[in-house]
Amino acid sequence: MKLLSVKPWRFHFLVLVSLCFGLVLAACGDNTPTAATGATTAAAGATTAAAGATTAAAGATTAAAGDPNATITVWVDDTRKPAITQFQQKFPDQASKIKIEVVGRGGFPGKVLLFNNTGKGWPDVVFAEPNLVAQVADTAHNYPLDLTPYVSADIKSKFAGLDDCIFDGKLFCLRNDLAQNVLWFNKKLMDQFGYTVPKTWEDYLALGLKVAQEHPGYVIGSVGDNQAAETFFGGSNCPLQRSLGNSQVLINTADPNCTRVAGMLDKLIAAKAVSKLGPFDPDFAKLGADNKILMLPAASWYGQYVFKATYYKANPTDGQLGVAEPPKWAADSKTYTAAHGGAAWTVFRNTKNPKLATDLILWLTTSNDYQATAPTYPAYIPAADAWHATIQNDKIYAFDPYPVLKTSASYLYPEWSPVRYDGLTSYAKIVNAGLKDGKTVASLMEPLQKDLVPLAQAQGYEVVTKSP
Amino acid sequence: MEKSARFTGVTKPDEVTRPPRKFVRYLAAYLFSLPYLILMLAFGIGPAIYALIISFTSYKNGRPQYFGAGLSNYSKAVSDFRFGSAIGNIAQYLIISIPVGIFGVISIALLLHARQGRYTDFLRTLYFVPGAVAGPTAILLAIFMFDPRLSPFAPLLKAFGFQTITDVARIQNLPVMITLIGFFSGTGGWVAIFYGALQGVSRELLEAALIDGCSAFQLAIHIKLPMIYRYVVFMFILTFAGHIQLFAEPLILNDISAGNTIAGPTYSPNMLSYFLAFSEGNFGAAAVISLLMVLVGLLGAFIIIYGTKFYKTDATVAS
Amino acid sequence: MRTMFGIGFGSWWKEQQLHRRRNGLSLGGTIIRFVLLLIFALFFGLPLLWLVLAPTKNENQLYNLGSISFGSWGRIGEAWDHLLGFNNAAILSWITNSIFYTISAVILSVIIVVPVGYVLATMRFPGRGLILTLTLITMIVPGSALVLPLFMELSLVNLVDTPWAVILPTAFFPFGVYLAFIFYATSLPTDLLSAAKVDGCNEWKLFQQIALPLAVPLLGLLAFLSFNANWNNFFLPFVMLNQDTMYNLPVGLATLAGVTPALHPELAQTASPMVKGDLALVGLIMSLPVALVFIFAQRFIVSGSLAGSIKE
Repeated sequence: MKLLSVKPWRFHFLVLVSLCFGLVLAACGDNTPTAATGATTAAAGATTAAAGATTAAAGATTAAAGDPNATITVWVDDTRKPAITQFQQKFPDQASKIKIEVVGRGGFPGKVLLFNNTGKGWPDVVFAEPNLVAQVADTAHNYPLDLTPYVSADIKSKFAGLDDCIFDGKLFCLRNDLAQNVLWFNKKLMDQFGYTVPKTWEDYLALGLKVAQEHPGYVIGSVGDNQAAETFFGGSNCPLQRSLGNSQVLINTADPNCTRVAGMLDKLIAAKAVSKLGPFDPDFAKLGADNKILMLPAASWYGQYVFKATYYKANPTDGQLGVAEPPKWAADSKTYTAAHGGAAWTVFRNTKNPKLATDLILWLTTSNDYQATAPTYPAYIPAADAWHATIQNDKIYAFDPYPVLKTSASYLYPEWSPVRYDGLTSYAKIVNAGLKDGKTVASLMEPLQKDLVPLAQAQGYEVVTKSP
Repeated sequence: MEKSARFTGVTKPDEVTRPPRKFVRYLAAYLFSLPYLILMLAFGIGPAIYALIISFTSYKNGRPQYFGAGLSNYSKAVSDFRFGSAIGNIAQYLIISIPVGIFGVISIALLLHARQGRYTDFLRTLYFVPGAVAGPTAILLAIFMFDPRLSPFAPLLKAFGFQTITDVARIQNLPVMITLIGFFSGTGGWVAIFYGALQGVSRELLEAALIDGCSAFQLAIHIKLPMIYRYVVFMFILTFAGHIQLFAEPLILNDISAGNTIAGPTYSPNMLSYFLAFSEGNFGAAAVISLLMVLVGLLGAFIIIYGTKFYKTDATVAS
Repeated sequence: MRTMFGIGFGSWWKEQQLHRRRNGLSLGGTIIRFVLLLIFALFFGLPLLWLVLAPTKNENQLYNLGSISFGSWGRIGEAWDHLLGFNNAAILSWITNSIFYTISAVILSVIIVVPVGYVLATMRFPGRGLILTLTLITMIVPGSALVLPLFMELSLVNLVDTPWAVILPTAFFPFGVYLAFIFYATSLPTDLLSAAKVDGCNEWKLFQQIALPLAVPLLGLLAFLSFNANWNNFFLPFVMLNQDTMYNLPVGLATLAGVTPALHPELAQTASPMVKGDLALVGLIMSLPVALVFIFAQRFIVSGSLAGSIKE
């Protein structure tokens, strides 16, 4: 059965090669009209955009443009789907014009690129975190509509955390909810141990070392996952991701604002007062169930969704959970806090029905109908006040947490800004993994810098290490 | 033996059909093949050529500028700061997964074949069934199997010093973890194929060797293994071309622990390609890496077709 | 297949004694073989057993009851209710979609593949060698590398986010063409064809009345391979489909795994009641039909029809 010889191989190879060339040429031939079509579409898009711009300029008062009868597609998650349904019930004449799609929003920027490529398919309204909005706001995605003409100055002024939605002076989203970090604590334990809630990070460190001495086994925080970047480094005005416009970012893990955090954490980790487990690790949850969590700097939604739903689920104790403003560094003139989570609504630049799209997101973010009973802390301050009523009587809290949450929201600062790359993943890859290997936070600051810089550069940022 | 005879007896096409009008005969052949040829152009060759075009394309404001990039996408992809580690990771994974896979499949097939019976049939089926647990299910199941709190393998995991899933889920353990997932769902099919091949080994030959005093082990190593050697080469090439495409496993394993990234988004070349395209909007560089992966597959294909004599069709000798 | 379960140790031992000499296995060899096979059996069997049992257990039982243990039948109903509660019972669409996509792809691929294999094996025409070579190449090069350009291609013709974007590419089944080709090249009696030809049969009649009825075992193998590949297809539908009501089970499961607080406590905001056992139930729903098909299809593969196709 020796059927194989060199000759046929050569023959086939040649046929194949020539075929490939033929096909490439054919494809190129085919390609020209495609490109032309693309260009036409692009031109059409540009026209629409121009029309949009004209209308926008025409007036914030009568923000009517495009086709008021056009259908819009809304991308939401499972949690926010009822919000859209509620809008449809409230405005039945608009109901049929809204198409809801529940999607995983992680793929949103990627899909936008593909839609740009094919010239169609964009969703009109999307629920997404500001860092995703940052990604779709670059020139390659070029997705969001500048909402400035549609949102009055008065309404804008009543939003907290709106800085994260402003890119190069353009308002690209409206905040749905805030996830400002606060200091959660176990009031009963604190009283029992005779401790006072720290007001500064220096006090926090001192108290942690004291707890390690006097009550070993109790923890005052967690550095086990990437939230630590936001709670500790974000709480110190450390320039991990300070966007300076669309094309420049300041990253400097050697900044004193960062190294002071690393020093503090290393001491607390060594004393075992801060846990190397992540807040969602089952072992950390067990600490919660065993009532070993004395304090935990974490996001505003931890009260309802982590303490109540996880840590205290097995042994619910009334009036135990207290909340304090995030600590401040003694040397700083003010308190800084970052957020873990907190999303926003963004609208497509070329939406056929900007009136409906913007009406919808204004209603979603500002109307008490939805926000007062929303699952997370509303970004729109009047709505947050209405939301207050839903949580103030929850028995889990030692006192009404709302005033503290509200003040803490005002400590969110624009220098901790959404960027187009995923810095949190870098933090997890370098710092969290390094801690597991027994390294110190301080020793990981330089590797983190080295990982973040090319990541930012790949997204077209110029990286600087000093404030201009 | 009748089986191998059956498969080597190749029909001589010209004897079958000798109609007077060539054209009608060709027409029938083309009509029969037409739907397949359309699909092949659309979904086999078309995307490869499209990828080739994209690899020379630059993008401006999200709009493609065909052939506007020259070779810059190629240099960008190869010099990307994540390219080296992606290649390193995939090499690490291949070095572990391929020998383990091949050695495991050979061992199981030979062990099963050493003595055939109902037990062997049962075990072979048992090894085969995990192939039904594929894709996301297998990865999800693995997340539970690697968790010392949930897993039936907990004693083993704890013996290795793993107390929690976060101890297991470290980037340095990934090649072994992914190898185990692949071995779990991929082995049975190969075992079945190897076993089928072993059944083609002449019974007379085996019995003669036994009479000569061969032990079962010697029989396996000296007689059966050489008989299936070419399947091993075949499996090597196919698993190499397949494993180098690693994508879903590290991606989904990233979800093991909240807020902790195990593999990262650019662990393997395919993940890097996906990330470049979908996160950084660099379709050109992404296409370059895709093409690189296709090239590896093509290389494997050519070796199999022209080097190993496996795909012995009269096509490979036609001219 | 006749006795797969429950063979007594005694009968096994007797059989063992009988066969030992014939297989050249010493006592030590028998024991080593037995131990090794047992280890593999545990490796493959325990996860399967865990998967089958997990839906019967609630979160607490899953952690505390022992990994291989039974919870309660009632838990399965509860798990199903949790799944129905996700995205307006999206799981029902996933199941119907999976069935629809898979059956369409199987039927389409088999219909397309068999005639090609037939003409490649029985006729000689210009371009035949090329088709065969391209078939071999496309069957060896893994398709996953080309999903992205495929997406762009299908977007151009408006097929993205339609069932066709999943069905059509999977109907392209070069391995099936190759199997059909080998089958006809080796098992079609040439005399029969020539006789039919003399009787004035045209090509279509020849195929329909002689070649097709012969191919029943081939159709079984093709359908099995195509079914298996399409039922578990993840990457293609993952990229092609946007709406959750269009997903198939693998993409649905991955989505579920990606957003459920059962795996992501940080997503507890969704207040979904989903637990790990519910995910296991989806996995089970996905694997069970394939497992059954596998148990019955194993025959085809071991019988050598697949091995034969890559035989010298």
